[in-house]
Amino acid sequence: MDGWNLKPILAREVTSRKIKVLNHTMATSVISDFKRVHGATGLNVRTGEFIACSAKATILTSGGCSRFGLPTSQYLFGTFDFPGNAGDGYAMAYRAGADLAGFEYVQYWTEVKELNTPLGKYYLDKLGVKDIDASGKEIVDSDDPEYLVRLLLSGGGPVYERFSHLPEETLKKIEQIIFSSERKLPILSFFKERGLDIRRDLIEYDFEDFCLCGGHGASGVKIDSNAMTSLQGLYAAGDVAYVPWQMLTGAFVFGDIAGQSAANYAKTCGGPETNWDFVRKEEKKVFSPMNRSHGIKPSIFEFKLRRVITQYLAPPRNEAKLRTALRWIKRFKTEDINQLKADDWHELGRAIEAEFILDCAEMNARSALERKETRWDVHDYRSDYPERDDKNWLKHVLIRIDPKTWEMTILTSPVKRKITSGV
Amino acid sequence: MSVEIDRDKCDGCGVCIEICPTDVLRLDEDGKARVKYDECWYCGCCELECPRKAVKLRLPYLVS
Repeated sequence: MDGWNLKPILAREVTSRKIKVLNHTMATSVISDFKRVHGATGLNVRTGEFIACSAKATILTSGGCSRFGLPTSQYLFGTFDFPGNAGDGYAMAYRAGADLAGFEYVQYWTEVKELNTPLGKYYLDKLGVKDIDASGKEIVDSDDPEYLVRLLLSGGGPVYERFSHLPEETLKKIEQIIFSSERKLPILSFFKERGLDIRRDLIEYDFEDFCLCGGHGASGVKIDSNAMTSLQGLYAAGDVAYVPWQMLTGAFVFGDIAGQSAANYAKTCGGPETNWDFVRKEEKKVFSPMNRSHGIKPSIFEFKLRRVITQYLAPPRNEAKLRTALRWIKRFKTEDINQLKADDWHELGRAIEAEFILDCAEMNARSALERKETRWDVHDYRSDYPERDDKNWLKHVLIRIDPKTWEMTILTSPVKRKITSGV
Repeated sequence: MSVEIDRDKCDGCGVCIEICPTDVLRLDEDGKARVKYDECWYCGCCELECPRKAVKLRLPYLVS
């Protein structure tokens, strides 16, 4: 089985089990009384239909927040991770009262410049592909996954991958992999249209974008070993969940666990108690950008927000930068977000996503302000606290909404697992 | 533009519109597919799924 068949296989499974699928429908909120979740609301971005779905158990599988930092191209959708993931699940779980964790860490990659994919870099390195610095010299520390990011962030770029020294048999194997697996068409198109040949050309890598992700990074909705969140009836799996660096295999494992746990819970709990006042309020809020006569286009707002994220939340950062970010976020929350104007259902979906991204920015800024150390190198580098501090910071930084004030609160909890120094 | 549609080959079946994960394609007034929203991710699902091979992904720059 090739990796790129995974999604068709999943879709076939869903169809064969006669599961009702609501295509083109994005979730806008989970229906919550801050203790238990009773379902979700959604918007069909083709027809404008608003949906309230009562459920005994609800599972979030909506990915991370890909549309976070601006890519170097400044193109809003030029991200490595799928840009339809705008932190929807993070924001919905947060607003419902669930605990989230690890939001001080951003996901950084070195990617092929202007292609915005790492091209399976870890695997290429194992096949003997070499990293080359700006002077043409081989980078000897390239087995350190953070080294290239550190080099680029310190102005030591550009860096390249060199393939030409490899035997033809290995080059063919590499081409077979990169032109046939994940996102094969854009990769093929990129090489063809630019006339690139790995037998001859160096491939430039750069730091292209950063995002929040529970599975390939370390930010997500806190879950237990049964994939249950801190709210009854709400489960999470995949990149939306706080299972750092679980990757694809982790998503499958926790998807299975979440499904079984949710099904078991649904057998024993009482029926959902849908709060229709909650639903009506959510409906009114969802449609407000369509009901304004004029205002700010969601894409313009998103650009402003992500410019601030890039300027003040990308590591290296410090208290001054983080406080500046929070000043902007407060202004966005009190002024701009209430002036968004959507001209059709599709754009209304983007307006809702813009507010998800805004919540994620605040979660990142507040968590980063709390953690006064640097734990995961470039992922949370603080120039005012550049060292790892196990004495004070073997802790999770948690986020929780205050249901009375709607303010974001920060808590910490100790890491239960014993950690060996240096691991 | 990120996605080129061969208007002679396109019969407006809508497969590309349904498969697009960022939902940026629509039919135009002539019943042919076109990119309506400037939000392409360059994934190429439209080209892979088009039954008439009328769609071509182009990747000149990641700036749309």
